[in-house]
Amino acid sequence: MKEMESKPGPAKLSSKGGLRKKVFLSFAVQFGLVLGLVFSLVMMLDLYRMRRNFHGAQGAITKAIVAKGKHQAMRTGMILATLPENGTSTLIREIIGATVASDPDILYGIYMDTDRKPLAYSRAGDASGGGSGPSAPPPGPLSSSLTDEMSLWASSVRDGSFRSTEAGGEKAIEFAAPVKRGGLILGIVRFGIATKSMDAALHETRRAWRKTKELTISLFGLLGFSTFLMTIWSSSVLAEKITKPIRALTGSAIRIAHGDYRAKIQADGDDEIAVLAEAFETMREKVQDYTGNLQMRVDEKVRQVRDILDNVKQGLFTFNLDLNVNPDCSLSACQILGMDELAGHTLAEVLRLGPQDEALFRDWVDVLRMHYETHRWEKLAKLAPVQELRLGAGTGGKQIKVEYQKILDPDGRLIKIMALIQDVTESRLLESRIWEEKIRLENKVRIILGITSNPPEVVSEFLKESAAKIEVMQKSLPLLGPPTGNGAGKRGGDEGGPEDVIDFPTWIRIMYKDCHTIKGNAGAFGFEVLVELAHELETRLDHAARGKINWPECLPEAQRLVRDMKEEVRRIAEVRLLLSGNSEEVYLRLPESKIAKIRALADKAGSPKLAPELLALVDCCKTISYRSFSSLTRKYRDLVSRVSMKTQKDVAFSVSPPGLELDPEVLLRVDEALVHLVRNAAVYGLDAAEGSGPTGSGSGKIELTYARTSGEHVFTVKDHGAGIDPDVLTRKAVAAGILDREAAEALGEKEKLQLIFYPGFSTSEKPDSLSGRGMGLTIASESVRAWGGTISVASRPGLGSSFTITLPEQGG
Amino acid sequence: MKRTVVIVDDSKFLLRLMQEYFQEVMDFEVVATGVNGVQGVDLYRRFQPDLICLDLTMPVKDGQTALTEILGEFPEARVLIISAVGGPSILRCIKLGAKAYLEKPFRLEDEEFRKDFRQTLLEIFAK
Repeated sequence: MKEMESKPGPAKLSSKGGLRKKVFLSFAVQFGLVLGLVFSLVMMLDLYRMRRNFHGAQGAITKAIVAKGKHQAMRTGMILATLPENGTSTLIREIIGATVASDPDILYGIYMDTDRKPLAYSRAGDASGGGSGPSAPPPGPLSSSLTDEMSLWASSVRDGSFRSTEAGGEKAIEFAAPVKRGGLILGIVRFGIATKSMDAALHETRRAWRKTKELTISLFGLLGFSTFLMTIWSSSVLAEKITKPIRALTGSAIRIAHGDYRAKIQADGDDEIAVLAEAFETMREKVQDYTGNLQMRVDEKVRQVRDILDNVKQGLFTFNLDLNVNPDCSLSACQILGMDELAGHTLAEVLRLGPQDEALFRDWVDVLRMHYETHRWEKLAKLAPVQELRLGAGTGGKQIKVEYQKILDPDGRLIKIMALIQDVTESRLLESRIWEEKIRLENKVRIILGITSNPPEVVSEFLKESAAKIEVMQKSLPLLGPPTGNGAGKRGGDEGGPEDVIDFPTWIRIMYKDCHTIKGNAGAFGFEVLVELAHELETRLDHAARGKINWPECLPEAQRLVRDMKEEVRRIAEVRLLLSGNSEEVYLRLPESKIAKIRALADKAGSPKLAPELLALVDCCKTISYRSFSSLTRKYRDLVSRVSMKTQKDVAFSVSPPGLELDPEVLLRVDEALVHLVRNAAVYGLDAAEGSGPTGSGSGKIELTYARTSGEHVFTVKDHGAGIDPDVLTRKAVAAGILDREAAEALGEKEKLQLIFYPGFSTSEKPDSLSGRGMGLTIASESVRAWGGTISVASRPGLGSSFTITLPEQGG
Repeated sequence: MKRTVVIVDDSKFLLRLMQEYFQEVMDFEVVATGVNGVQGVDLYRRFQPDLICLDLTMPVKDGQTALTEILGEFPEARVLIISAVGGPSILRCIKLGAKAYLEKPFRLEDEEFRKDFRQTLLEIFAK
């Protein structure tokens, strides 16, 4: 590894590759062993064969000599046996001598009798015919028996036989054969044949053999050596061939390991190495592509993440465990926190922490360090000292929600904390508004329930009494002196007489009592808000009486509470008024049958002859079911308020004359028409100056008036909206095919306006829950006509519209 | 061998609730209950349970003081803080060495709360 690092090098690599050496050695050893074995076997077989041939030749030579010697001895023996017994010694000598002379190999020839007395003795090289006795060392004189070892051996021979000996310093073989006649041994023929020629032949053979052996060995040596060279060469070539691609791969791997991905790998062939190389090349290309584009990819991702972070409403930054903020923060985090840069600040600065909160944060980080591995993060995060914070007025009093996330290093150690911040000002505001609205509505329901489930006079009494008490409180609160030395306060201010001077605790006690009464009564009616306010004031008064709080400090709060109580009582009175009207509008409930009966009787009794008092009574009876115009028209008031709640516009509704008593029957006849007219007015009749139509943003005013002229009821619904443009109406009418252009032009302004009652004629672009489908005015018109009445419209663009219903007194 | 627990809370109702839950669901042995910090310290000393649950706002001696005393005497004590007063007071107790916390109200009918309870006990006894 170290070596690789020290010399990165190109892909061709040094030849000392370990793998190559191993492959080479393995080939070399295998070839060497096999060839060595074969060669040695062949050589041994060859040598063995040669050796056998040599021994064969040696045996043949020896055999030939032996055969020759035996033959000479036997033949001479047989010749001698044929000779007569007497006077033949010369002949014997001659025969022996001639035999010796005939063959240069025969060194000597001897014929001796059974007593080993030599009868003939011839030696090679002697004068022809031999002599009378051997010239050479015949053992002993001719006349005496031969006693040498050879002669003793020869005398014992009973058949042709031979034995090695030495004659005249020369190696020889002596052949001995008995001369027999009639089974009787006459003597022994002995020939000494020199082995010199035989030895020479043998020597020659041995020399030839040795020569052949040497030749063979050197041949095999040469062959072995060349095989050795061949083995080395072929092994080297094979090893090179096998290991070259691997070494190339290794080289590439090393280069890649050093960060150089350019080394291309050529893979040809179809063996495993080629497949490996191909796979490696694919890998290299991928790695090269990946690493080549890595920075680009990382940049891209970072940009994406930044984009997301900068565009989401949530801001993000991280801080270290030492509460220093890191540079990695999102743009929105800076914006939310109202800072140009978060990096380099401490968490205390960023989150505007006081020293106490900062200390808590340090504690929190300590707790995190202890438990982040074992405890759930969400529970630890919940302990963070800041979950939501309110920024100072300088940053718009923003409400910011903070969430925390742990950041661990690759070893799983807590290194920093990520803070996710979110501007929740609006949602909190909305929540608080919803909450307030909920409380308000709940309170309204409670107020309504309290009013309706109690006798009206009891409610009235409570309201009057409470209002009076509150009024007194409101007036006297600021005049109450603080508990001075003698603890005295004044009632009614300085101008009051001395009899008015009441000590502070007494005053407080009186107020406390009043407050308690209001609280108790309000509780009985279920006016919860009033109960709460009274309770709070009561608590403060109690504390003040016991000297638990400093009164001057507490005063503004007490005053506020009294104001709120007053407002709440007013609100309850308003609801009561809405529910049951003012005292003049409080009606007795009577069965309708009874009213009808009274009215019928009054009609009959109504005679001008009656006394004026009785006439007045009859008249009163006739109008017994009449109700004030304002109470009869409450339905339309509610309608307007419902519409204005939906359009979120402020629309005022007024009736006149509100107190006029009217037969409800009359209103029933125009009810349908009024519903449509009032609704239209509420939707479209907004002040032109501030925008008209359902999309305008303005306030409106709707007036409903009633008048009674000679024999006619006249109702007028007037708004102060944009009014109706007669030309727009005619254009629309022409476009809708209601009338042709000429007819339209012939119409007067008033007639043009009457087009608005035409069925399906809407000025609204599309129907919704408020504006209809252009049928409202048609229905209104028809419903009025059913009672013999008429409906007309007058309008001035920009000044509003006015619809008038005229109903005959005796309609129907 | 069941784990033992001492529960200390000034609400008798909550005591009963927790006692039942610890015994029947968590399979603990509730060895004693107390209603204030003084009892809490005494009971710990007497029983040395595997776990002690301490309310924070209690009469006579509050939970944090009891916690400090218990840990002073038994540094290895496992204390579970149970409190309705969140934030800093719990944080202080954990810093002092309480093992974990649970927030009141004890909504045992809520699966989320029960899960939190189980998980918290696992965290306390995790080694």
